[in-house]
Amino acid sequence: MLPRLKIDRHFYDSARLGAEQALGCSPLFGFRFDLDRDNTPCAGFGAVSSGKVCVCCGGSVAVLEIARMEEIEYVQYIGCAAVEYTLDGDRFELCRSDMKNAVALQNAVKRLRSLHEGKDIGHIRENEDETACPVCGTPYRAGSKICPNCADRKKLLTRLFPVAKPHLVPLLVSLVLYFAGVGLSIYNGTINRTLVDDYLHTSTPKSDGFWTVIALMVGVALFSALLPMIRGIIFAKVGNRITVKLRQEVYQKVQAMSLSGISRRTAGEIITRVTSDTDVMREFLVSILPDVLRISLTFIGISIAMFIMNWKLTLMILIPVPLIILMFYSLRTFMNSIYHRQWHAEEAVNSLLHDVFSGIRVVKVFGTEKYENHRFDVASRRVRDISKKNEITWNKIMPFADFLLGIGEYAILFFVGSSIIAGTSTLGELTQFLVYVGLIYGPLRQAAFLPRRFARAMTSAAKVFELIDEEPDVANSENAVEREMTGNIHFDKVYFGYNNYEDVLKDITLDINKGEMVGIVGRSGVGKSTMINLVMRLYDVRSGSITVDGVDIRDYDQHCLRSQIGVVLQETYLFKGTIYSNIAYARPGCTPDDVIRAAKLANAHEFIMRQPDAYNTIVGERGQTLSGGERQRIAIARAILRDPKILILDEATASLDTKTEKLIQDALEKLISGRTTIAIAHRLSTLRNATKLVVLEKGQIEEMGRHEELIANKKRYYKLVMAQRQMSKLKN
Amino acid sequence: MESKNDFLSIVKIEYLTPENAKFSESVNGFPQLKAFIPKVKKDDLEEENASSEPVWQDLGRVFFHRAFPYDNAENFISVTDKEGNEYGLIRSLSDFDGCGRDIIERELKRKYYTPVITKIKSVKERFGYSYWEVETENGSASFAMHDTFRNTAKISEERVVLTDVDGNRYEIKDVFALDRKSYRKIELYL
Repeated sequence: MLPRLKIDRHFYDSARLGAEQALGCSPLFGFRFDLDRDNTPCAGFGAVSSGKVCVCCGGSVAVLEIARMEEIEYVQYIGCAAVEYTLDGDRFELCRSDMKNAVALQNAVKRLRSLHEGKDIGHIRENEDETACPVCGTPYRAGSKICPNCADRKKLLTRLFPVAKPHLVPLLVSLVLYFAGVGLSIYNGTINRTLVDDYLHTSTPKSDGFWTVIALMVGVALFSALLPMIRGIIFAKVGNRITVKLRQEVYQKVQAMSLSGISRRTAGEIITRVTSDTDVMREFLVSILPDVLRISLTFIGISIAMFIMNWKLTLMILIPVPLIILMFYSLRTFMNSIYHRQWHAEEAVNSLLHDVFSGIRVVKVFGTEKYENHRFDVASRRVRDISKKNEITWNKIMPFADFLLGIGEYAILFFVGSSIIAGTSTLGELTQFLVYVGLIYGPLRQAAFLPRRFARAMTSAAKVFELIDEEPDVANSENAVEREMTGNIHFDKVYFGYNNYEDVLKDITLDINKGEMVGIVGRSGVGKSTMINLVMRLYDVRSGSITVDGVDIRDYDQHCLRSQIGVVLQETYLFKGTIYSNIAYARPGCTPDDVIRAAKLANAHEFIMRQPDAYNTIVGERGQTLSGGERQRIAIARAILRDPKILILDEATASLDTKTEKLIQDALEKLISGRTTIAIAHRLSTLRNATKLVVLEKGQIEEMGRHEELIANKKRYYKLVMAQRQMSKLKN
Repeated sequence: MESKNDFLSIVKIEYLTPENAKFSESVNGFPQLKAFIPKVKKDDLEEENASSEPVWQDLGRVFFHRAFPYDNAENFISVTDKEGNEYGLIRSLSDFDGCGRDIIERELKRKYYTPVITKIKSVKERFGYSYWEVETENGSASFAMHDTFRNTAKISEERVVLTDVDGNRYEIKDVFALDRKSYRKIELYL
């Protein structure tokens, strides 16, 4: 058998049977893997009972006693992963797999370790580790167990209708207007016929009623002008409401998204989705969809009218129609891909712009303006090329389609003309038919553009719905509680990693009591900031728990939780606005008195009053530039105003000169007192007041205790302190 | 060519060659290394002023990591311990031959698992996910990608690496060498 990456389930079943037979009892759990030692695809299955693990792969079976397996580990490679263990001092590989079974292997390792330690692993549900739908193999989306392919059968179109639902009445009115419009056009043909046959082209013209006919024509023309006008007004109103609604929804979704969800995408891309994609969707609802309606109504109505008059002739006219429809249908996929590419190219330009202007200082400092110009040139040239190519393709197709559309008219001229010559038809009939042909082919011509507009709208809709559908990684639990906290934080065996295989934090158990100040120390990348991100619940722990006052933070209402935590970060972001609004941001509805008090506490009042516009000084983008220390103190004032129960300081005083640091330290001390504080600092002197110091190394707590204790220990903390002392000696 | 940048000469790269590095394989097929390099500190808490004179030492099991996995896979391969601390760099795989080279190559093959796509049978897109049916050098495969455009890494004009939702990688060595139908399907994401 050829090796196959896509292994049918029954191969696994036989491996499973082999493994389970070798095990000799029904397993506690099983896992699949699909590579052998040399990365050749195979169907493998591991079965685990309380005492033994048995792996079966490609006919070979191995049975091992879990009690003898030491250091069972999950090893992450690139594009594949393996489970290793030590037996009698030698290292072995248990199995390996590509990434689709990675989560299953990780869980297997966790459970094997528990079994090795003689712990109970509890009941494991069948398919619990599945990351893909067992029916169709489609992978689940993160955090969900609903197959997008099997369950989510709703098409984009049906997704759009709920958006239009609140505007049903005006939309129905416009539908009625459409009917009226079609009726008018049919009536118009009849008038034309009467005009020619009874008055113009006859040997015995009627003497009366000529004026009435003309008046009728004028009336029809007037209504034909009025109807679209009313429709236009209705759609303008409804359309704008829909856009605003959609934008709000997308924007709120972005706000509700977890940090990891947002940082996966570029700001440029999110901006495009909030603004232009929603706009295209509006266009779909108020322009494309009505056009489809109008075109199909006109088409059907007039076809019926013509059929009644002369069915043979009608068939003649309609012959080219299926041809044209077929042509455009076959082009649909092609056009779809063309516009997809254009969207991506445009998005690339947007993102490039955003990227460059965010880093404009780096560009200036390194003098790489030319290079950036070139990059932009390339990107915009790409957009140009793509849209040029698209337009050209379009223009190649259209004239041909136009010619096809013209054939019908010639057919009419020929057949009705010959019957007029033969004396069986009147000139009036010809006129009426020509009017109808115009009416039927006109919309068809527009229908030709529909696939392209449709494709564009669908692309945008897919992107918008993707965002709206995204399940937040960090969701409120069903009965989230809102409560005042006192500030006792407890980490219980917390494991966390930003991705599936690498734990940034391992087995963190830590008690932080009310009013305590805990300093987290360690080199960069060791997981200090991750710890505080977890406390703020920007991410959820992978296993273990974090509790505040005995309640798991996942059971708190997110808003309630964060509203009681104050944060001062190293990089302070000030929004565009006044100093006042930036401080007051922390507590909407606070009084100027509160703000000034907060600023005074933060040692910020003084410098604020030195600004010409004092609290009304505009800061942020294009505003007054403040120094790092000044911004920092505004941030502290912000945190003070919030009056948080838990205060988090992430390198709040790094990169400041000593004098400013002193000022800020003083400000912080006022803030810290009586509050639970978690502080991260590289400069250890900042943490001299800490009641507890936690030294992190490789994601684990290496040391913990008071400054004096850790110094006496003479371990990592001691080394760090000594190293820093030496550094500062050198400086002086 | 002599480097003009004196600044960079402050740092020395420890290159591993057949002269100072002997690779062997453990009974279980893991690579091991004996090397003639400055004494390796096992922990950064050890004394700072250890001598930097090279000595032969048994480093036990080692790991490889390509510095340029995409555009220079055969050169600049880092040899590290379990934690990723570097013992030295292999400047070029071709420096080694025979048994040593076999061991390195085998281990690299085990570490970097990237099936090579030879044909794209179908690509379907739904709600921001794309579902692929492909033919690879290792047989047929199907996988799903999220945010397809972003997860299609363009290594060069012709070379592309796709990363699926699970983190598997699939490489296309030359998109232009694909058959016309396959190319049409991937063209969209280039």
